[in-house]
Amino acid sequence: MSGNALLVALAEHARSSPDAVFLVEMDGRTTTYGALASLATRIAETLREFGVRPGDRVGVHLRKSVDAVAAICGILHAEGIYVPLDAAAPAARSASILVDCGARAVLTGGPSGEVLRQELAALDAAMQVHLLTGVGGGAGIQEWLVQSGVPVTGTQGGHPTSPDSAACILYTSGSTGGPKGVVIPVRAVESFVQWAIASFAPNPCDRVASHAPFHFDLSIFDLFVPMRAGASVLLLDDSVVANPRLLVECIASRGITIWYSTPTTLRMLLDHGRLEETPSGALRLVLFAGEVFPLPQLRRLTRAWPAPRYCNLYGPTETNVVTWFEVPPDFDFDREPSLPIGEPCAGVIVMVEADCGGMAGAGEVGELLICSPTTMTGYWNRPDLTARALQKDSQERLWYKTGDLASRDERGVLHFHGRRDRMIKRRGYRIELAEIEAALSHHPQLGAVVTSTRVDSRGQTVIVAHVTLRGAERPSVVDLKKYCSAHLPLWMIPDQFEVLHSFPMTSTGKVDLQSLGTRDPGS
Amino acid sequence: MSDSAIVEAARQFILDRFLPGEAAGALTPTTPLISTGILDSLSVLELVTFLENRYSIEFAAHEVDRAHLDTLVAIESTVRQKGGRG
Repeated sequence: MSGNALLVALAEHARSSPDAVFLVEMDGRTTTYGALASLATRIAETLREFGVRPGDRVGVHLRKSVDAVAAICGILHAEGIYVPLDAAAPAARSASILVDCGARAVLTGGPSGEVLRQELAALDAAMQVHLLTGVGGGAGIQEWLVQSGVPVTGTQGGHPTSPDSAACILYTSGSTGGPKGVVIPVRAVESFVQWAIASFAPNPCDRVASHAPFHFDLSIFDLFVPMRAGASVLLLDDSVVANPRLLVECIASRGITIWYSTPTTLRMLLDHGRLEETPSGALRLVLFAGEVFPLPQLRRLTRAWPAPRYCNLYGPTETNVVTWFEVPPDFDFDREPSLPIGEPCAGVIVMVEADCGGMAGAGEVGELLICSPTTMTGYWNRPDLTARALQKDSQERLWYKTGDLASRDERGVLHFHGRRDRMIKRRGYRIELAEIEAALSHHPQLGAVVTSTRVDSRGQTVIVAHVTLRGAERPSVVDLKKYCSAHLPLWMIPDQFEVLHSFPMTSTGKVDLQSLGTRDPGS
Repeated sequence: MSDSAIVEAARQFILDRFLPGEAAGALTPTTPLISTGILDSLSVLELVTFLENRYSIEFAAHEVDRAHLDTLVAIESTVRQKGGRG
């Protein structure tokens, strides 16, 4: 296969055990290592024929399926950069991401694909839109290959891809009102995969549940760690990811051994999936990341399913996982204030920087800085943001400033203390409140918009949009939610709206966010 | 014709829990709930638990989806099919 280091394992497994199952879809269809490798090769040939060159960005706007994985591998094989998009997000947002990264092409399908095609046409975007008919089991991508009519030559890829070249761009919420693209180099994925292999020893008998969508950084583990180990992956698509009873059932019935998701998802399995009454089957490892796991729920989980190892993984999209904490069997849930984020992964250096600039002492809270081989190259086309986030020290080491607050205790274990800015975490997704405000500010009936958050009695983050009106007409909450659903992904839509005559101000003339956040707009 | 008791109960639950401050009239029997983000995945699960408890019915795992729950009308029909009485 190609010189892309990420695909070396795929090619090796395809040679040594071509009939080993790599992908399993929920309807039971399976795809072997051999079949996927050959699909990826043909996709790469076809993309090259269509003019995709090394370094070109190619969007993947497909629901989770063999087709989507094949597309990702094919793009990497062609030395392109894959840009995974949320097929359920508003087409306008996906289109703006594709335009932002200057994508050469996008692979899409289904009804949302047609909407995206129209959206891109309206923007006059010079981009190939490859619309797959039907997605699932690899059938859609196979048919696209046949329709494209590019002859199968089986040619090998070109030169070895440089480890510094980009593998993918993951778009996350941006503080300037639109999403920003985190450019992840091949080297970063490689380093992360090596750490995961050394820490969790996956093997060909493992079956990994892929719960996170491909546009979410957790999916880097789900795709590339099992691929390296020769394990199989159960692709959990949109029809099941939010269905806790099905998910809990399938952990035992599908022989899942490794699970990786947000704490929100695991809490959903506990609260709505009857997890405590269902066996855990062959599950041996539960990894979670993306947000803080409240201890009462984690205690319930580890009591209900005592067999697996439980690990809290920490790291923003910009660095992937950089610290981790394995919950010991004797973890004192009553005495620990919260779950630690643990110690640095192999090869990672972390520093807690005190407000005055020096290194924080034991127990002192400061900003967490990270020096890691898993770090991004930068933000796509945003040298200003990149320069602010990545800084070189006197030894030419590159540090990423996380914006997260942390402390290190006497044992050297790291603890998380929230954010120093207005970014929030909700259900594992990071959200810049400014992006919600920017979207709502275009609503014809709204004047100004300010958002705040609070944590409800269940420990869930609630987003409240405080708005003023432009005229006398007051939109209903249903109208506002509908408007949001056309402009924002579902996980960014505010839970509550509060209409105000004017915002409370601080003595310095700024909107008094603290005062807004403590009110209860429901009352 | 006035809305059925099932529609009314589901409407009230959704208004109280997820749309505080909203006028009841804004939520019609055919307002899409899931595709508009009025109910997100966790809210849908809360709604299911509410319906199961109130009507002593049971949702199968595959029934917790848009086809069964996207509007008040769909919710009513699903509850009735399961033998729930309004």
